[in-house]
Amino acid sequence: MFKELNPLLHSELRLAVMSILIGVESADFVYLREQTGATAGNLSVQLDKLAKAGYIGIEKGFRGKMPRTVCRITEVGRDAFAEYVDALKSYIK
Amino acid sequence: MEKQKNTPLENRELNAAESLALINRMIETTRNRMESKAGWPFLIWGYLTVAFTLAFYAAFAWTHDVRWAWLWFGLPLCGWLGMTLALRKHPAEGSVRTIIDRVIGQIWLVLGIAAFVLTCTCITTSLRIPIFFLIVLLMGIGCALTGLVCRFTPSTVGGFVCIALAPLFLIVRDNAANAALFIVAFTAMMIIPGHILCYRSNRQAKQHHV
Repeated sequence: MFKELNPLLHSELRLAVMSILIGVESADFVYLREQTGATAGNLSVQLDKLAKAGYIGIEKGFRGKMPRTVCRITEVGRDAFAEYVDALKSYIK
Repeated sequence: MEKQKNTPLENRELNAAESLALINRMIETTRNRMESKAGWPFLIWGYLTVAFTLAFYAAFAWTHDVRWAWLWFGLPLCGWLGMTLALRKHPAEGSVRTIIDRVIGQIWLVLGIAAFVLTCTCITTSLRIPIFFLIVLLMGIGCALTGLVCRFTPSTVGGFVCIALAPLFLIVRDNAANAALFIVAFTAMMIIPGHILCYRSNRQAKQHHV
């Protein structure tokens, strides 16, 4: 029997962001944009959705005089990601 | 899914196989990431230590004044300054911090504090501490751990070479020989691995741009 896939993670860009953040302590907005190739606007919207769901934490600060946004996965995000991967396995089997 | 790395990702839904491929690709990309300046901390500390060793022994041999030992306090200062200036990131450059980055940072913080306390004790008191033995042993442990955690063999080998060399400082009493041994130790554990790391990261950056 197929498990239901979390719709929030079942989107290419949001899943890519979560996959990056699952393996690191933190990554900044520029790094996420470099790795995903997404536009700043689209990435920003998707990060906001993940943050509102409590999957990631976003810290806004500065590097020198330039604003810098740092993202980290939360415990809720880790659990959701693990559940998502488990659900995916049921489709692959 | 056979998307190239720089193909922009969108908001479309994926099938199960595509999702797993994407997860795998993103994790692998970040895991294989190598900072463009990964070898610089080794080179900064390695060359600075060699320069301070030469300066100290030249000054001591010329004047026979032990107060030149205070010169060593310039090493952490210059190292900190060099690291701050050389590793400063451009605002447009993305950065990521992995758990390994944090572990390595904490290892060197602890060893750096220990080395500083030992140096202070040696210079400011009349206690006879085998300082070169202890510093080379501590730094050797740090390099070996760094190499093992990062799976970077040159640093592991350099670290263990220093751990093996350290007891020689308890035997050799000649100042010039001690200085030469100290330089050999820092060359093995920092300068050589630093150049290898720089070469690898430059090569990876070139491949990335092709």
